[in-house]
Amino acid sequence: MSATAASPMNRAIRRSALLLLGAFVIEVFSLLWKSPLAFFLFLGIGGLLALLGMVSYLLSLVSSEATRP
Amino acid sequence: MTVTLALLLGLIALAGVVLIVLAARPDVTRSTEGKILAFLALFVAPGLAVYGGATAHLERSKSTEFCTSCHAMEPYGMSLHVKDTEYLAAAHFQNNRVPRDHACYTCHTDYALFGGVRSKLRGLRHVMVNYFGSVPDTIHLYNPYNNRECLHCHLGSRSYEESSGHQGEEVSLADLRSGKVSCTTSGCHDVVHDVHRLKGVEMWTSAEKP
Repeated sequence: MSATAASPMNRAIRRSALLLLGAFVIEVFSLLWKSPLAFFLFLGIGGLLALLGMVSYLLSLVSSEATRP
Repeated sequence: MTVTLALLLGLIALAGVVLIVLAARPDVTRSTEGKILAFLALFVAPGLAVYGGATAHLERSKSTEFCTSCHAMEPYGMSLHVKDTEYLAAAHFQNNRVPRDHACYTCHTDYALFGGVRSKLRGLRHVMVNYFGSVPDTIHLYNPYNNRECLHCHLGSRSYEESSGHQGEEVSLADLRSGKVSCTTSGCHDVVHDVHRLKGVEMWTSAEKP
């Protein structure tokens, strides 16, 4: 992995992308699963992962702006 | 699969592909186009997907199939198919007085401010009790059935207002409107689901089961 790819911003983007991919997989599964529990799965795990991914990305933007000379 | 659900899955698939690219090559965000793409895939698309997913789940929870999918609700689903039209729920279901695919939700939502929200919150609790608690032998309504839920559709309809039963000395339209006389517990329409009397009852079979 190159030095650029391992920069804090890149790591944050990768982390956010993976969290959101997990959220999407769970959302698709919950949408296709016809059970009353699907909503809990969607909200409890999928929603949490999506929130973490989005917040992680926004925080990385803020911190990269803050550290810019 | 509905068009909305197909569009939602399409959006998720598209965003998923971009996310895989971003996870594999985060360097692409160094360019302006990459930054815009990252913002769309990491913020806008997930926001839309969560909103769309929540809407789809809430819409699904209104379906008769959803309500009767819990074991405790199966007899209530069966009661919609009783051939005897004295059964109020069956008469409404079989004669399309309520949409068959939203039969439970149509009658068991308070037609008041936040009625839908309250129904949803109660529904969440019911799912939890069904899977992780103990379902009571006899299921009761939280509150006595409010005439308002009947009058939401019936008020103003000719057959309802001109019915001799609704214009008698004992029961007047004003009494029904004010809730002084209950539609379901005053002896007029008191056979609603009667799930404890379903054994051996003849069923109407030409309808699609919920």
